[in-house]
Amino acid sequence: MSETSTDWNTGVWPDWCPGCGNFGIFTALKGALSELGIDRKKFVIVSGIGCSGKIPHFVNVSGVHTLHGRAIPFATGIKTANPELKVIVHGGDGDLLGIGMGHLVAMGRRNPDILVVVHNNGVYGLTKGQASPTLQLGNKTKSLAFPNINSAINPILIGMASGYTFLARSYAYNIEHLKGCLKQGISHNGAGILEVIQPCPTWNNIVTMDWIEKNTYYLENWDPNVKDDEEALEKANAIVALEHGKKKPLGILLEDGRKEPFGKRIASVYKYYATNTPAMQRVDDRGAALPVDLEKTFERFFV
Amino acid sequence: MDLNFIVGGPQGGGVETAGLLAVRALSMQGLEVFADREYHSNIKGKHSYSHIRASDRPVGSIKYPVDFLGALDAETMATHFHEVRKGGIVVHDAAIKKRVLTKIPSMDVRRAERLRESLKANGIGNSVGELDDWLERQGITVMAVPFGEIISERAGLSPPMIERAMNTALTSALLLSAGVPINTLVAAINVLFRDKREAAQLNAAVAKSVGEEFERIAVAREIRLPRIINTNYKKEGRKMLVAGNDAVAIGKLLGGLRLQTYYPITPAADESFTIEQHSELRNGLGETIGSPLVIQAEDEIAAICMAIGGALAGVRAATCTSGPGFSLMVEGIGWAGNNEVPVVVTYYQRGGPSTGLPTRHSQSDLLFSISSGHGEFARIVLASGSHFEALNDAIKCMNFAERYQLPVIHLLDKGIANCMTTIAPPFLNEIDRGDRFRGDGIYKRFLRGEAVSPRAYLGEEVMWYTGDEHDEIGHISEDPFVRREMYEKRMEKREKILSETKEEDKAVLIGEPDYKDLIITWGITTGAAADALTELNSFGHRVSVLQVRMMEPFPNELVESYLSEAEEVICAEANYLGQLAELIEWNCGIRLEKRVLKYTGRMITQDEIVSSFNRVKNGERRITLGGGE
Amino acid sequence: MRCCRDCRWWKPDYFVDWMGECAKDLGIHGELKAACDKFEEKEVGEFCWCRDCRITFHITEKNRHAGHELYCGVRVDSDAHEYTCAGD
Repeated sequence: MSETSTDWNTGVWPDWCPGCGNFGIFTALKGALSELGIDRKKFVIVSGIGCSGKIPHFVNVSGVHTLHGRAIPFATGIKTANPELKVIVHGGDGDLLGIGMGHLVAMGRRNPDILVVVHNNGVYGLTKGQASPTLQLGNKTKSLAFPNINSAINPILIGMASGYTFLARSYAYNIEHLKGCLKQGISHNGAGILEVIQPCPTWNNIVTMDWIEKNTYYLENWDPNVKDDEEALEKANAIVALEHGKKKPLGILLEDGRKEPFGKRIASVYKYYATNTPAMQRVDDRGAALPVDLEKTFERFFV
Repeated sequence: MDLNFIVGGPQGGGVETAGLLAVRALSMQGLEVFADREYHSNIKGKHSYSHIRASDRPVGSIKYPVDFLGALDAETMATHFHEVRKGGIVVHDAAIKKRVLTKIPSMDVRRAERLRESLKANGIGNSVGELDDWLERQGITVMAVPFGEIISERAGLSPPMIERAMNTALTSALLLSAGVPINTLVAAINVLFRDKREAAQLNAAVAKSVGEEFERIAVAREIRLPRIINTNYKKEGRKMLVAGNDAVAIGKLLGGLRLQTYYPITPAADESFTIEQHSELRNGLGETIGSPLVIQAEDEIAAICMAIGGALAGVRAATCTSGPGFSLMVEGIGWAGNNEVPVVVTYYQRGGPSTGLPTRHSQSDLLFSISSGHGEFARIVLASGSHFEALNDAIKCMNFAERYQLPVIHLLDKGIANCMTTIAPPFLNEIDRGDRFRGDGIYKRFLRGEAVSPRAYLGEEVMWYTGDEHDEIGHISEDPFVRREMYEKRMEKREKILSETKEEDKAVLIGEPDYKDLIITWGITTGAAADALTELNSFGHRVSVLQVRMMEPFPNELVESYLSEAEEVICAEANYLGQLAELIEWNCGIRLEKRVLKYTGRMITQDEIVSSFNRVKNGERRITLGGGE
Repeated sequence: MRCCRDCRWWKPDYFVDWMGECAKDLGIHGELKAACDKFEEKEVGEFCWCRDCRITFHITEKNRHAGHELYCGVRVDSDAHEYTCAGD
């Protein structure tokens, strides 16, 4: 199936501000879906709250626009119930790294086959520009009364510490690069974080296109794959060093295919799961309960 | 035949096994059993006990005073001696006779104060031995048995095992004196220790030797053991022995649950354990025909959101929790309400607010469960009044959820969660998966025109959901017309539910329909009220019980019709306000002034219902109860 | 006739239909002016502004905007936040 990227629009008007980085993410996502030959019915975008949370309404695949910070547990429930579905999460930096941070960390522990796309613009846009968890200490964006007194957190390092097996960073206005990262992240069989640096032209007068160009660079001669524990440690140390550099690296930082994804882990303890996922299992026989043998199933309760 | 007894000891010191052994043996003897488990929020060392009731008729409550008390330690004696009836029997290990009652470090400070006052007022000395003497003077038989010696000399166990077998010894003494045959006791031990052959043999040996020795002591002291259990009461068909957590788990498993998510909390978590332990549903040939998945989430917010996710994928999904967890789940329930998601939340109430009484009973979340969440949306709140109901309601809740596409709260309490009782096996119900989309034309998840739109699962069609107000496709809309249409579509489900639901699921009359007075209640308190009826009516009253089951949408017409027939209406429930009474006033405009309330963290008992009814008849309006330890 | 609409430097105002900005001299002007010395033929970059759809879009999606008024960018008052009452 080969559709051009324009077929991926729902026709709902994307009501982001002009020049918003989300338009870049939107374009790259449609391109990635198209090039991956995605089956629209089998693909689900789960999103949080805020400007980024609206993205599922604009892309012509199934969309679940959830609660603030909770996209990850919704996505985990969907993916676990029906592993045939391809599930990705879109959320903002405030959503995923602020109110929803606990879920982001927990997802790393589970390693489900879900890519989390962090729309990182440093502010809470739709509530008029408050500081987000990625805004640097001392920064004073337009709507702040005082400079930010909190330090910024780094989603890549949080992801690494939490056990994510795919880590990447891209830039909202570099469609080709972002599309490549999305395709790689969607294809990766495990938990992934893709941080997308995006300007908020309305509220963030610090992280502008100009600033991003000066403060980022594209990774070259970097192999994100790891083959064994020794190499994993080396890579982890190298990523920490990169992330503490003056400029932020753009590209795929880590792709670790060694860890079992959540579905496999479930199948290792629930034998039936491997061939009969919850979504595949019947629960009734034309309106009647299944012929469960009470004594065979619940033997220990019988007197 | 109606036997009530308490067996107590330090938490983690075998008191749990003692209770399980007793209920198993009694139920194997064909008796109906109802057993309350009372324990602290503590792992080891604080006081814990089982109050076990056995009868030849179905029972749904406990009753004071008790016939027997079995004490594994001095604290049990100190805590419960006043609860034994005249003519009753107290059994404890002879070795605790010298223990000082007023120096028990694990005892709550205020409880110790009350104990000192009580000992002083009754002129009782400080030791267990002195308490024994006083009890004897009150007409209670105390049997201080040298269990340690019996276990080591007659059953041949060495020291670490002696301590571990003390619970079996004590329980055996109690049961044998009540008349349970030794064969039944050994059979119960074999069931309880079925995975530990050696332990089963040792415990059986202990039971036998205690039985013989106890008999000898009784003869020597010229004590006539009551042996009120004098036959095997077994009737046709097998029974099940379950805690409420098990009952709901079984119901969910039979009802087609395929995804359960939870975060550890008392008294709900055991339900998920039971589901995990029975995750392979078997047919008559022993083949697996279903296997629900249980996921432990990182918190209750994740638990409800994961369950909703599963439901969107077309899986029967549920979670279970208690008050503190439900408080966190509220945002998820609102989302499910707005998006018409069939998801079931099993809500076991415990003492609140905040952490409150984590391991104690309460019915104080009724108003919270029907009104939790901002905005207005349709939901069903169904409250079960017994274990059998809890099991069958678990199936019904999943049917309701999918039929009406909304969140369903199955409201239970700690009493149901932790009490163990005998129930008849469930009948396999019908499974109603609701209206499904048949694939004609463009799919609109929230198709206008009907309160319930045909449902397609994620993966079958392309669809959209959002917590924002949305149009019929599921896209965000703030249009006032769309808003009104969608708002009404969701809210009109309430009338649909009330018009389609059977009366038995709304409110149930227990007792004779030509009542003069009515006790109105809900949840586990129903058992106490129902059990009290025979006694009350034997005094010449004409009283029945109305148990309200559907709390939201509220069946006001039905409840009103029952109330209008009654001369005197008494509302009994385990909270301070009288939340059901408030709810009735809100919905029916009838103010119920006579309220019997209990908020000590302990269940309302049969005897409390009887005495409260009489007090109300003597003109009291608001009665607050305090029985139980 | 060549006019600002066809000029590389002209950015229509997001809110006010008849206003725009000449990005070359940063002046805000009403109505469209006829071509001036600064006129440069529009050579749309990677991201464009569609005045009809009122969205930013990527050039790869140009065929969706056939016949629409396209611009290199759009002018938004940088103090817009002072009078916006966005919310979520």
